[in-house]
Amino acid sequence: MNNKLVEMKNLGLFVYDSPRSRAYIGALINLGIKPAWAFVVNYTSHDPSGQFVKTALFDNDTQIVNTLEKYDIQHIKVTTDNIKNPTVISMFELCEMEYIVYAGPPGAILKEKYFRNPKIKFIHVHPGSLPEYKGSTPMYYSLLETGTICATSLFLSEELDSGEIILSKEFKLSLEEVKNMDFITDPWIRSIVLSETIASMIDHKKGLLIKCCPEFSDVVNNDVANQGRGVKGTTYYVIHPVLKHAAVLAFSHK
Amino acid sequence: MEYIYSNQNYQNNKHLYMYTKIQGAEFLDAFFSERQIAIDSMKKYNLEHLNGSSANVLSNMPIRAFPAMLVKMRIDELVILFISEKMPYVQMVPYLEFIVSRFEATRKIYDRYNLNLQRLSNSNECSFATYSKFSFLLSEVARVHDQKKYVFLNCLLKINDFLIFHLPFMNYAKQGEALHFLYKSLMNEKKILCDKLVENESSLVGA
Repeated sequence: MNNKLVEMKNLGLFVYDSPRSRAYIGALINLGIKPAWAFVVNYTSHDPSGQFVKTALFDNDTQIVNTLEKYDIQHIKVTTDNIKNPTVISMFELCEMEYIVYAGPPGAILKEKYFRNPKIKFIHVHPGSLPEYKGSTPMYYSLLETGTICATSLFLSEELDSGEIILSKEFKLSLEEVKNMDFITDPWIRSIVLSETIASMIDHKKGLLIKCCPEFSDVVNNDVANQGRGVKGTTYYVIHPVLKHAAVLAFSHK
Repeated sequence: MEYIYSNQNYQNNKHLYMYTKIQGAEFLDAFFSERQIAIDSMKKYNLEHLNGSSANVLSNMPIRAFPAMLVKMRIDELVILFISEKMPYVQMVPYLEFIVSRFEATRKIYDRYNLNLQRLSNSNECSFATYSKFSFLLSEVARVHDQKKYVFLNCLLKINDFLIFHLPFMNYAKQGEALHFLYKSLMNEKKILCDKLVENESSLVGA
């Protein structure tokens, strides 16, 4: 299995051991590729976002570091989860990767210092439609307001959730999937969008990612990506449990 | 089931609202029951029937001329401008958005900010009374502002959890004005939530 994976020489990962990171690595492996490098923060984490909830949708049982070792992916691991730590930032100032998939600690936002190295583009998958639903837990607000769930891949910029949109996809979910949103469904739908995003950028001959490879341009849903250009959108914050329940109820009554 | 979010000080637990579990209708029942206990404890502080309106309940605090006051924004003045109907809610929305963003990010609201929406160096955290008035203001705007409804309602729920957590430590006799506005805010909060649940044909209406 390991030998069959093609190493993408300019692709890196910036991960925190969470269901999202585990789903992302699984998605890349399913594409037949692996990143050339990974940076793991707080690799011994046991906080709520690191829960090992069993699912058939992706390998949520194996710690990130073990998966990286299994597939012989070069990596650096640190105990801190503070992405403002100068040592952590310095990793990216000297980094040779062109594309880095970001799945950092919950609520951690990449600030200006991460954008000093012009070679790097951070790829992020946001669990909402952009630019309309920025910020935290947008999937629940989207359920409350429109009854839909969407995930959008983008290149991060200094302004929150305002970078260049790559791909956007709407999902039709079951009630059970909505109830399992935080630890299973959210990472799973984001990994699907990540998979389609990366697939659209692979240059198999060179073993590199290139920005929006023309031969896969049909995968990139430009109509969706262009929707809402000029719309400022709303920034949402971690949803209160009462509104979270209202969102699930709203969905269950559809 | 117990509603736990107003039993803990949000300011000491920044992860309080992260990854909360879906617990079904019982959770909403517990929430509404807990809120009703708080509402009942403050019922007699609804001073409107004595004063005619919430504007008359306000203590006679002088406010600076508008718009000069907004150069150095004082939260209590902003609230008074709204309650006394000197500033329509549409004009209030950008300021509310800012204050909400500050509370969501820092779990605190300070009494003074500058035009760049930065906390002034000599500012202090708002008093219980100012938080209560701000909560009322937020609840009034959340009722009518469709576009920002959930952003404001989300913050309102958190601020009200935070204020209810502090209720046992309050001297009710000295906080009549604050309790009046918190009572009004909780009534608005209940109305907004029940309307939303009715919209979804929930069986929890009237809980």
